[in-house]
Amino acid sequence: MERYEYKFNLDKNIKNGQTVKVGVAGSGNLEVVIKPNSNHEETKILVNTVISGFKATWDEVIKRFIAEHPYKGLDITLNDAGATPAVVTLRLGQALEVYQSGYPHKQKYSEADARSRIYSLVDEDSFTEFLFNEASLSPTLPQLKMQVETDDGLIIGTAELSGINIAIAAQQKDFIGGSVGEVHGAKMNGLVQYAIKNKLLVIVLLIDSGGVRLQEANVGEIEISEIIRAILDARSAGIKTIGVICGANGAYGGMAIISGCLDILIVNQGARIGVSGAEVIQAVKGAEVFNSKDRALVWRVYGGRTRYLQQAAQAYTTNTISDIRQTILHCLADTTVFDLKQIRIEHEHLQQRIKNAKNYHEEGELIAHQDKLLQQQDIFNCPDEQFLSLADKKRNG
Amino acid sequence: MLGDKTTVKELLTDIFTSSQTEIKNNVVFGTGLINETRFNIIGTIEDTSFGVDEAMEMAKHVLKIIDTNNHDPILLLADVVGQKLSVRDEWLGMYGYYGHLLKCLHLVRKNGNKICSLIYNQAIGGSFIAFGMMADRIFALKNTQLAVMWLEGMAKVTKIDIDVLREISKTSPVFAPGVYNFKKLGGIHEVVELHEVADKLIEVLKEQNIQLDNRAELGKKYGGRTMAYDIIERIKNL
Repeated sequence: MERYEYKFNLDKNIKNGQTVKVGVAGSGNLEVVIKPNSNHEETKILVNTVISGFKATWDEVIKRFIAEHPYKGLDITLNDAGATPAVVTLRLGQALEVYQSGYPHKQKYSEADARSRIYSLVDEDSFTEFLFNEASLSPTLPQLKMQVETDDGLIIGTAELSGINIAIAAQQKDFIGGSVGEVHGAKMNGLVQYAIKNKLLVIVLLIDSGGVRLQEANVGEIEISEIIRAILDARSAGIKTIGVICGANGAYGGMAIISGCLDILIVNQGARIGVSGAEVIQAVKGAEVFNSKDRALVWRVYGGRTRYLQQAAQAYTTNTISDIRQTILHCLADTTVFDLKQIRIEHEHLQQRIKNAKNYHEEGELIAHQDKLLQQQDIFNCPDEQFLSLADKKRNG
Repeated sequence: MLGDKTTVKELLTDIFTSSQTEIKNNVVFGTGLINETRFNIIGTIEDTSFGVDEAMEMAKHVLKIIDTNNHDPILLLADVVGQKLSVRDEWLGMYGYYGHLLKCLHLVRKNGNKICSLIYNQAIGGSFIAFGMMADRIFALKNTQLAVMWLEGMAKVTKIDIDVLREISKTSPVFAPGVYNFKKLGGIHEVVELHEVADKLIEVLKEQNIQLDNRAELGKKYGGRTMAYDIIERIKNL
């Protein structure tokens, strides 16, 4: 781990903004934090990088950045995980823009990072991020010479959705795969307990994760279990728990099990939910059992459309953030109560799903044998609107 | 390893004064007495790959306890070699079946039944989350193999040199397999010998408030998990 510090006395004024964080401290990328400097005349840049031996390159990149943006009164920290000079320059520029005009609203969920997802989904100016002004860093990653991120890959806080107070968390999919390490897990748990204590009505989890962080495996696993207990306590307290699984990492491993404990799952075509990934099954059982390169097959086993067809997910949406917002709002109207009666219904439903499955192995096989119409309509590839209309017809019997 | 495996039969004979159990879908279930105290017994048999059918079988017995107005404590026995690696089980939504079992255990806790789990032989990967970790008090036999993933696999996936992982494992319980590592993190309440289990179970039932999750606090107390408890408390009290 290398650390370079730069100080400049500059002339140009910049609007005194709030602290912003942009980018992800994941492989080939970096996190940029800009704060107002307590010394108004000076701009300070601190570089933390996991790649050593590139001091001259950093000197050059920083010098060029300052030449182009000679703003004073900034306190900039770069947490770098091997970004190229081009990426560094790009992120610095973006961070400056956010510092001046706030987080941009994104249209496509898949193109937004965790913070942008929250800002784009919730009511304007309603999001308050918890632990934002302090670094809650993984204690383990530095021992493994891995870059830390100030939020440990989980953004949490409160916001409003159409005026309703909610607790919300978003996983940073590009920070070690959105994985659950000690701090990440503790933050999620803390948020759920905050919601219980403050009697919030809704918890929304924007899940995008491969599950437990292997570099912190034991802690991650224990904390998944703790989060499950907290979530079920929240549900017993009447809080509606909603999981949005619309990101590229899906919900795997421990995060899939957490998903299985929520009231409502919202998925889209790109979603995947599973305990073990296709690669793991292939590695142990062989490619003849599961060819993980066969993407269509992978999605017929784990994908959002399969999950919606089998009623494992309660709502289906698109990759457009405004649609996802509408779907969440729609789900808030759900009045299902979490009690013994509902769990008995769930038990019957899950039993029925096993029975229906006969000796099939994936949704495509089931549909080919039981629902020729869906097969003819190319149910896994047709446009979202057509899929929804066909699937809803099937779901409603 | 094979030689010193504990069988379900040995467990039941050593722990209980008497017991009646059956086995179906790799799940052992029934009742047992430790002197005068009656326990419900639900668990997995030796070397279980934990999948959809096992989770449903267990959930069924948990629901039956609630249905029959039974408030006796529950002993969950866990020997799981891992989540079942099966295309069919993943397609069916194994995570949802695990979730269902976890919800049933949550409801039986609310029903007033105290829940203990005993991990024997092994608990590997996500299957440990499915029920073994859901107890009020989690015990593991001393010779239990406990791992999310073995270091060799971890080195391969994370591309971190195995010697580095081994070196850090000497002082850090965070990722290396082992019951004492889990204990240090608060994830296991006690590591026990088989002959101690009966007494421990009776002892635990006398404790107050065991239904409250104290694992993060223990992790801090034992020094294995330095940050989590304070972060949780801090956020909760914002």
